[in-house]
Amino acid sequence: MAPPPPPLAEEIIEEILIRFPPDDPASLLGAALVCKPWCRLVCSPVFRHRFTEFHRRTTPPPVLGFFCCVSKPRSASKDIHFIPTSPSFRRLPHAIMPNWRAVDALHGRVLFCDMDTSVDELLRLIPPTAPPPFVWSLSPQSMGSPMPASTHRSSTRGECQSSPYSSPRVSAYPEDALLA
Amino acid sequence: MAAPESGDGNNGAARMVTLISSDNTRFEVEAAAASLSQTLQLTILDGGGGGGDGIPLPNVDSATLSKVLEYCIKHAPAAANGGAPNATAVDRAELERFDNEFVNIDQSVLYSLIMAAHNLEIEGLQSLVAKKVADMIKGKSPMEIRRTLGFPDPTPEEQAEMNAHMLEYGWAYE
Repeated sequence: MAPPPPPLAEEIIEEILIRFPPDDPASLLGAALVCKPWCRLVCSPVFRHRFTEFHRRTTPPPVLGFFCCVSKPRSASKDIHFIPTSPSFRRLPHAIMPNWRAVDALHGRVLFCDMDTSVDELLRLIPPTAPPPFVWSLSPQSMGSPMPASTHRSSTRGECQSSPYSSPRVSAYPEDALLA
Repeated sequence: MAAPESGDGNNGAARMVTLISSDNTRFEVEAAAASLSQTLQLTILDGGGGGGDGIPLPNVDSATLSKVLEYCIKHAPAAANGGAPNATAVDRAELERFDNEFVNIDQSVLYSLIMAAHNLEIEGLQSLVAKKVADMIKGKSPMEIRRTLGFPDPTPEEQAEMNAHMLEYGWAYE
């Protein structure tokens, strides 16, 4: 019986994980749960930066899915549906909450408004644990209301240079009163 | 007037170096092939590895070294051309075919190979094997990845932690 192989050096693990497909971030999540050293590696800013840079050189940023606003027949209310385009998201729990409405996108994150609760519980970020590059295509048409140009452009970037919500643009939305 | 046709500065025979594996097997290869290893390159430039001396590689056994050198010999001509910018499509396709077959090997060999490529700093080989291993484990659950890579079973503590995470993030595997 052959002895178990010696553990791979962290640099080797990094070289392997950095080659995971960027359009299937759930596979990196699986790797992060293998053991604590892998989790530390995948969660480290250095790894995330390298992962982004590595794939940016070879492939355009992937679109993982988009949000679609669907009007209900004979009703003024609308449902927000998440349409996945990546195998990682056959179902995205937060995005299908009927009382949540996606109102903005910035630096690859999506801002939700919980229509049933108070201002204090207004902000939700998804996905909180996923590594970049995270790109959500959020077109003006799909939201049913105009998107600020700066926000739409930002949503195609894979990396945050500053706080994602340093200057949210909300003036175009009917939910202004809630967001103020 | 005309320059001498044979004035390429070489005597015709490529310089050879000797590498010695951890189990004392000697491998004689062209210096250009061995120089794909950043680790060996400086030693070879300094004139090491020639004659009867040989360069000892205590971390690489003969089976692995033989495989590593197979890669180096195949890739040395392209590397000598500075990444082969003027290589023909046929050459590139041939190297690609070679690479695909090269990593189609037993997992334990793959494991030794990636460690050797890392120790010897052979960038192309490390990249090739890392891609193969990534393809083998991507999309698998944490337990499947552990089994694939021959990790020991998780301790009860680790298992409890993984279960807790799976409860929270299990939707990613549905």
